[in-house]
Amino acid sequence: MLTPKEIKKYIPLTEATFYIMAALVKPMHGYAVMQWVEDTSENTVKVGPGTLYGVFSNLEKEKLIEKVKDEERRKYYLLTAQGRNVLTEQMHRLEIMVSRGRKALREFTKDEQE
Amino acid sequence: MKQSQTTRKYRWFLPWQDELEENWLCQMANEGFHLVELKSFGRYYFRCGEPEEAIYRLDYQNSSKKDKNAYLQLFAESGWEYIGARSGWQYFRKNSTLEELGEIFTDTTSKVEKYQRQIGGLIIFIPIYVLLMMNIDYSPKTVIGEILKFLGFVIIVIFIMVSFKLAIRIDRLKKQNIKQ
Repeated sequence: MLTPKEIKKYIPLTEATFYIMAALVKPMHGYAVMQWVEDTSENTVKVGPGTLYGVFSNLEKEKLIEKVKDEERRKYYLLTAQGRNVLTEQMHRLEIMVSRGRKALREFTKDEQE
Repeated sequence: MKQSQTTRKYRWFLPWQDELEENWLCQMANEGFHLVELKSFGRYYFRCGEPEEAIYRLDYQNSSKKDKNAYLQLFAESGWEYIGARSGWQYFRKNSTLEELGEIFTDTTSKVEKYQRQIGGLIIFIPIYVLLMMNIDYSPKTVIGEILKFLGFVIIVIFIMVSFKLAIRIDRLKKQNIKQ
């Protein structure tokens, strides 16, 4: 398990890393992850093969994902428990940001109306 | 008459000029010269054919990768044709009329990491430099000693210049990121 300090080392995740980790709650290979990210991010995030390969290498080195299947030329990866810790912390921070941002925008519109 | 002859060209490019290299290859394709092979000493082999709208992209990966198959598979599935590699540079091509992503790197982090890998690749010059300098102590004022001293000097100048240029590129990428 990672300590809170170790988790903070990875935060904030880049958009690409965040979506890639979220994809890997199920075993998936690189190209499937690329498609998954494009679809589930509603086309807001696209990941090129160079970027994906780099993220996979970094995450594997940090043991946030692990290889679960080696199929001919395709490698399947899965999120590890440590990876889950990091993703959870990132979610927590994003939630705070979203709720804070909503409040801020609401106050801003109120001020405008007055 | 079918044109299927190949032509050879020589060219050098420096480690921070990868975008110039990509543009040059696109321009060649526009003129009907399509890269088929890369060889050492700056040799390029082109197939002469019809002009095409092509995108060329370069990645930098140290060779002797164990998982090169998986790496190439990923690029192939994303529509990138692998042409070959030289001194760590991996050459890819895609037809630019396709409505697909025309980039292999899609964020600043991964672009910066590409240049950092290059600086990492240059680190091997340091032990070479140290070895050359060690030799000088044992052979002062000989012709070989002077040659080694000169070589060591050239290597360290190249190392510093390339690292400096790459650092500038990294810095510029990071600044662009803030502006976006």
